[in-house]
Amino acid sequence: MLKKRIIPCLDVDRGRVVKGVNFVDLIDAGDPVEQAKIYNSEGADELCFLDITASSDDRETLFEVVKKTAENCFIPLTVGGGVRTIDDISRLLHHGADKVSINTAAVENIDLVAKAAKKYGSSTIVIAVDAKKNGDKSWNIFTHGGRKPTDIDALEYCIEVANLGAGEILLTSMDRDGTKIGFDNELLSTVSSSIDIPVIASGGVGKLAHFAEGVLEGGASALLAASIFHFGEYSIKDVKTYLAEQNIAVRI
Amino acid sequence: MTIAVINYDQGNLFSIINALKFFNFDFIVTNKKTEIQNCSQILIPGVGAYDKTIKSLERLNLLEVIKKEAYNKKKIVGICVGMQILSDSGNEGEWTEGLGLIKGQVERLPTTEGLKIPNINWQKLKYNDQTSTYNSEMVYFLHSYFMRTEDKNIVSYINYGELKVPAIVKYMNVWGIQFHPEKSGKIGLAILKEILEK
Repeated sequence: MLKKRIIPCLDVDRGRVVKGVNFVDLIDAGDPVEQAKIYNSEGADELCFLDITASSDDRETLFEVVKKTAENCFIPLTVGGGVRTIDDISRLLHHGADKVSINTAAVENIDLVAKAAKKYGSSTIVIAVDAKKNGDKSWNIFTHGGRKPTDIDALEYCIEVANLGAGEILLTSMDRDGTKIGFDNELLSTVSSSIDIPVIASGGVGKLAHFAEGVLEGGASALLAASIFHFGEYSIKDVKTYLAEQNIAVRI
Repeated sequence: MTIAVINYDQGNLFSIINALKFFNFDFIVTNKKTEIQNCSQILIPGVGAYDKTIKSLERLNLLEVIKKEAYNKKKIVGICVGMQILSDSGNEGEWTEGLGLIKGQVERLPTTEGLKIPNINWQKLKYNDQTSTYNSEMVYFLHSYFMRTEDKNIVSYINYGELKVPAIVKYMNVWGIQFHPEKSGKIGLAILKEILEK
């Protein structure tokens, strides 16, 4: 059985981690490089940086952070947030990102997905989708960090970007994000059963059982979480040990 | 002993260079014929599609140089798509002739019940020589295509459904690594180091 990937996600603002990790032995809790190193040594399968820097002038610091992290962590690094052009993707890759996640720009300009996949290969391009339920088995996507609604159907959109060459879907449930009541497994299974590319579950995880549900009910290939790791409630190891006990294959 | 890391304007060189620095390997990043000829081994990194990679190398007039150095028994190491283009041909994008250094064809992973494409997974290596230090170790794969080649060229492989997907291939002085050793933690780095030092 293929191993399910556990991916901790760090929110980075002007080069500093915002929702930081309260590791006891961390000298500088706001330093993304230090936090990434710890996740790396704890056995994270990948790392994800989400840049939430508002001003484009301040974004330059992100590149340095990506570079320093990539120099210190020999595991895959996905970077997203504010990626709008082929040039943005190129710069992130040249600073050591292995995959780039695109959200709003892909919705506004769907050609970008095909162009990016053609240029850098499908496996480099992650499409991040923020979805909110609007009826029975129906979800719409939001852009601009979940602030702007659209009338685009989430499932149709995921199928379309998969056909255009996206390598993975990072699927966040806006209904569940921050609630700690578990992933929206109905959303996950609806999407993951309709496309061949991997789906990364995101939004809502609050306890260990939720990780298992994301796999068993949601059919996710990978599980992304932020706050559950940040506040030291559970370590990557705790999650993996728990999943292994539930007979879900993980890399330990 | 200097390694020529081929810079063909398409691959992402950051990670592989970072790994070489980590081990203090002596290397240069180049696309110049004479520099490549003066190095003791050639490393072809890879991110991107088969056809685009071959076309980039063609444009830089490097296909013949690499082939010639391989025939001269210089060690060639290809990673990911850099490994795939060592084969005779590939059908990613347009059907394209490869370097032809390892007998085989590169094809898309077959659609398989319960498996996703791209194959983005940490997977267990199975060595044909089961006494290998790295047998059963896990490394990071990220690919949609694979090299179909004869068993005698396969050093190690992974299972993708029923299919044996080559992880490390070797023919004489030519090595190919399908996974990302530079992104597979300590094990990946150790495997890369060993191959470069062989």
